[in-house]
Amino acid sequence: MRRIGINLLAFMFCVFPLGISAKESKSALKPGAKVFIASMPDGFDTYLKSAIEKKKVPLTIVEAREKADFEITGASETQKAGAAKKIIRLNWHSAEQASISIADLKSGEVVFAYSVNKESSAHGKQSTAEACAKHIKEYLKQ
Amino acid sequence: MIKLRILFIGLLFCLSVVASFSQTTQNSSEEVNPRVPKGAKIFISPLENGYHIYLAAAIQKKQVPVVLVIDKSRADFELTAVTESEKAGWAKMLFLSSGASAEQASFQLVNIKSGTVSFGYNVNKSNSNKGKQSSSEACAKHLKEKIESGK
Repeated sequence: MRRIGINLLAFMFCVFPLGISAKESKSALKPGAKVFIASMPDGFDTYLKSAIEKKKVPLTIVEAREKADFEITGASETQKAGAAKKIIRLNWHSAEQASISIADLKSGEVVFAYSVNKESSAHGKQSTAEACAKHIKEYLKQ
Repeated sequence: MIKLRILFIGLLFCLSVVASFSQTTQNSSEEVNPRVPKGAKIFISPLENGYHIYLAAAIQKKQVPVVLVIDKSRADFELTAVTESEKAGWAKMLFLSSGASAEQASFQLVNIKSGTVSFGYNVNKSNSNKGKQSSSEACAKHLKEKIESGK
């Protein structure tokens, strides 16, 4: 029995250096995770929060970064329809583009990112925010 | 019997140390090599207009075999970019029937340890259907080709 124990200890002692050099496993975004939505230009973070609720994305939004597992950062750009677009193309909808990225705060890895571009957005930032929320939900279902 | 056992344990220990050391040696040789290995950790420098987030999304969408990190100290490479957008004016809408913006961007991937530029790419789209998304995806696509070529 003692011999078995010694052999086992010796085996673990030899394997341990190999374990140190092993690569870190990639973190994944899972339903129920706590996310913090960072402040974004043009208040896009507020639209995103609403979209996540509307689309019933299974994530918990927290107001404090310290309490979160993941952080969502994003950028958004709106181009209102000018006279040319209205007269020539008969289109008064704005052009929207947005991009979001979700990072694991512990490992520092980006686990999900998505870009959306809508040349004629019927509901402005709401449309792009909901597109982001929808794709986050699809990603969580995988 | 005991001597054999001691010898066996010693041999196992030496093998494990050599294996760990060889990985360290391999990492050192990769610092000089401008090749971008699969699974490399890349930090994207933040840009004022948020273009770094478009890049992150493009790298994910094109399934580029790298790991994106938000902390530069954990990264092997740093991706920097310069980008410019020009919105379609009335003339373009009237004569070309196009409301798409003109996009141009330039990218650079630098090995943080060695300071060498491992990848560089310029893109210019006079009629970008998806704005910043198009130019960032062009970068991601060519970065993927670079990594998969192994050069």
